[in-house]
Amino acid sequence: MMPYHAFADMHARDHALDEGWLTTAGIDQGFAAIAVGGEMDAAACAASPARLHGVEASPNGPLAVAVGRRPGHIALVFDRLRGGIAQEFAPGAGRVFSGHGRFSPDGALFLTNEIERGVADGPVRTMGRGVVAARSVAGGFAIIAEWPTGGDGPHDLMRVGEMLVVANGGIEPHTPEARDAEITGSTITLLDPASGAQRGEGVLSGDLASLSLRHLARDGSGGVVVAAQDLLKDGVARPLLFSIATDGRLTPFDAPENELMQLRGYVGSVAVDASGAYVACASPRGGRVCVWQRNGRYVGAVPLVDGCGLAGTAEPGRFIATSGYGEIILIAAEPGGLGVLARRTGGPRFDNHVVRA
Amino acid sequence: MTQMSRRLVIGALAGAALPGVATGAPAPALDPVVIIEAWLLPRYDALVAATKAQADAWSAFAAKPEAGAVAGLKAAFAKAADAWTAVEFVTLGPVSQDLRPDRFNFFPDRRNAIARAMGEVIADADPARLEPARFAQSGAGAQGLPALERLLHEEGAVDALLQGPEAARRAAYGRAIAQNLAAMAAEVRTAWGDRKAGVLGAIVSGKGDPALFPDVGALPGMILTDLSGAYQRVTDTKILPVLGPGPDNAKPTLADGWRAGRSGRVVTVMIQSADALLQEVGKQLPSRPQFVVNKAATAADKAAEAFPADLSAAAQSADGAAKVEAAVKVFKAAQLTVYRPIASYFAISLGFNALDGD
Repeated sequence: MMPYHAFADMHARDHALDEGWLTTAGIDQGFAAIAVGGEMDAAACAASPARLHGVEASPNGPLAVAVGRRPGHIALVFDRLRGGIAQEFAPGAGRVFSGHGRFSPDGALFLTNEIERGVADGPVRTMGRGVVAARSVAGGFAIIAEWPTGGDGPHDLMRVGEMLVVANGGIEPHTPEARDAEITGSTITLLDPASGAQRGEGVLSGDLASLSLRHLARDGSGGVVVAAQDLLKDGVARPLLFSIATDGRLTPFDAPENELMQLRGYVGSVAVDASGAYVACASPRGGRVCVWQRNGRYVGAVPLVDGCGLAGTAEPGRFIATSGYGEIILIAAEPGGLGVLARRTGGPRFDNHVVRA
Repeated sequence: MTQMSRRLVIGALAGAALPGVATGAPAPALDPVVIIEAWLLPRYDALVAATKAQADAWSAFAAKPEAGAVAGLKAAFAKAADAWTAVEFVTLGPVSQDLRPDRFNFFPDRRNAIARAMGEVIADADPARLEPARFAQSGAGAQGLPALERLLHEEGAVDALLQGPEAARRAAYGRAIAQNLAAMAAEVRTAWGDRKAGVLGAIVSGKGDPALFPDVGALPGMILTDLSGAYQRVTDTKILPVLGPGPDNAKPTLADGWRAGRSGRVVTVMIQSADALLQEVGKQLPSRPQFVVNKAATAADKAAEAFPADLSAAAQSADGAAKVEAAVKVFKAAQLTVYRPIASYFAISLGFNALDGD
C-alpha cells in the first residue's frame, strides 16, 4: 500500500481534484455525457437514448464529442460548459462507430474510427474492415477524408506526435464471430495524420494472437501504450498492456502471473498520469485497477468493483477511476506502491471511459 | 478545465437529476440483508456441506480404494456440482477473490487446459504438489470440478482409479481436489459471517468494504446484476455454444458437465436457483409487480424442470434444439423482470462494465 507520507499530503490531494473530467453513464432508462467536477460530483451534460462510449473534449473550445458505443449509430456534440446537445452526426454509409473519436491537435478535425458492416466484396471478407473518417468541425462534422485503418474491427485511435495510432481490434470480443475464434487478427497501425498513409505496423507474436488491442494512452513525450482483451480463457496469463515503439513494434508490460490472472483477460481502459511515469489499467471483470511504472515495472493494484473509467489528474502519480456502481476513487501511485486517497459513491452508472477536460 | 469553467458546468446543470444522487422523494429501498440471509447463505451452507461430504468420501477412498466406493464418489460429485451451480453466478462477496470462481469450475475450457494441467499433476509423483497450500496455487484448470469430473467420468477413468500405475496418484489427486473445493467453500462462507461479524456484519452495521462493494447502498444493484447475469450466463455460456448454428453443427462437447451427464442439469439447477432469488427479491415488491415477477419465475422454473437432461443430445436434433430455444425465450423473459419491474421500482442501477465492456 501507499507509504504514509503520501496519504498525509491532503493539500496536494485537494489540488489534484481542482479540475474536471468528462465521461458517459447510464441514467434512468437512458444514457448521458457527464461532467465530473473537482468534488467528484457528477452532472449530466447531454442525454442520449443510445449508449455512449468514448468522449473527447475539443482542445480549443467548449465543445466535446461522445461517440456511440459499438456498433454506434450516433455521436453527440455537446457544450461541456453549459450543457446541451449542439449537434449529432452519424457514421459513414454502411458503417458503424467503434465507440471512439479524437480531435486533431488544433481542434479543426474530429477523427472517428468506423467499421464496415455487411459489405459484400466477392470472395474477400470485408465485414469489420476499419475506416478512419476525418470530419471538419467547422463544417458540421462532415466527412472530408477517409482512410483505411489497415485492419479489421478498429477500436481506439490517438494522435501521438506526427503519427495517428490506430488499434485494430480484429475480431471483436464478445460477438458471435468471436465465439469460436482463437486468433483476432488485431494490429496497431501508424498512419500519416494528413494523408492516412500507413507508416508502420505492430503485430502480436503467435502466442499472443488471441489478444484484441483496443485502448490507447499517450505519455506526453511521444510514447504510447495499448491495452488488450483476450478472446481465450485457457488459464494462460497473457500480458494485456504493451508499449508501442515509433515503428509500431509492441513490447509487453510484465507482472507477476497471479496479478495478470486477476485481470481475467480483460482491460477496459488505460491511462497515463500527468508525469508520464505511471500507466494504469482498469479491469471491470477483475474488479481492480493495476498500475505500472512507464519503464515496465509493476507497482500494484487497488480494488474497484466494476471499475472501468480511468484518467490521469493534473498531479503526477494520480488517477481517477469510475465504476458502474457510481463510485469514483482517486488513486495515488508511487514507486513503492499505490493506494486510494479519496472515494465518492452514489453517482450514476459510469460507463467505460473518462477523460480529463 | 479550469476551476471557473468547472463551476459553470456544475452551476448550469445543478438541476440535472442523476440516479444515485438524491434529488427528491427517495425510492423504495431493497433490503439486501434479507436476501443474503434467506437466499445466499443457505446455498453457501449447502455448498460447504456437499463439498465436505465429497472430501470425506475421497479421503476414505484414497485410504482404501475399492470399486464399490466409486458410486459414492460420483454421487458426492453430483451433489457438490449442483451446490456450486446454484451459486456460480454470484460475484458479490468473498467468492470474487483469489480467482475462486475459476478455481471451482474452470469453464469454458477453450484450449484443453484442464487435460494438460491434469496430465502434469498425474505425471508428477511428488506428494508435496498435492498438499493443500501448494495445490491451491496450481493452475485453475487443475483444481476444480471439471478435473474431478474427468477423474470420475472420462472413458476408462474408473479403471485408472482402481488399478494400474496411476491409480494411487489419481486417488490422491481426487482427494486433493475435493479438499481444495471444501476449503474454498468454507473460506467463502466463513468470510460472509453473520449479522455480528464478517462481511454480513459489515453490511448490517452500514460499513462499506472497498474490496467487495463500494458502499452498502450499492448492494441491491450488485445483487440484481448477478441475478440478471445468471440468466445471461445460462444462455450465453451453457446453452448457445452447444446449439451452434444448427443441429447438424451442434457442439455437444462444449456443454458444461457433459462427461458426467450433467449438461442439462447445469441449466436446470442454475435457472431454478436464479428463479428462487428472483422470487426472494420479488417479496419486497408491492403485490402487482410481485405478481409479474412470480409469474415469470414460475414459468422459468417450469421450463427449467422440463429442460432436456441431455443438452448435448438435444442440440443435435431439430426437435430437441427447438425445445431448448423455446426454453431460452422463457429464461429471457424472467431476466427482463429484473430490469422491469424490479430495478425500475427500486430505482436501482445495475453495474454493466463487467458484463459487457468494450
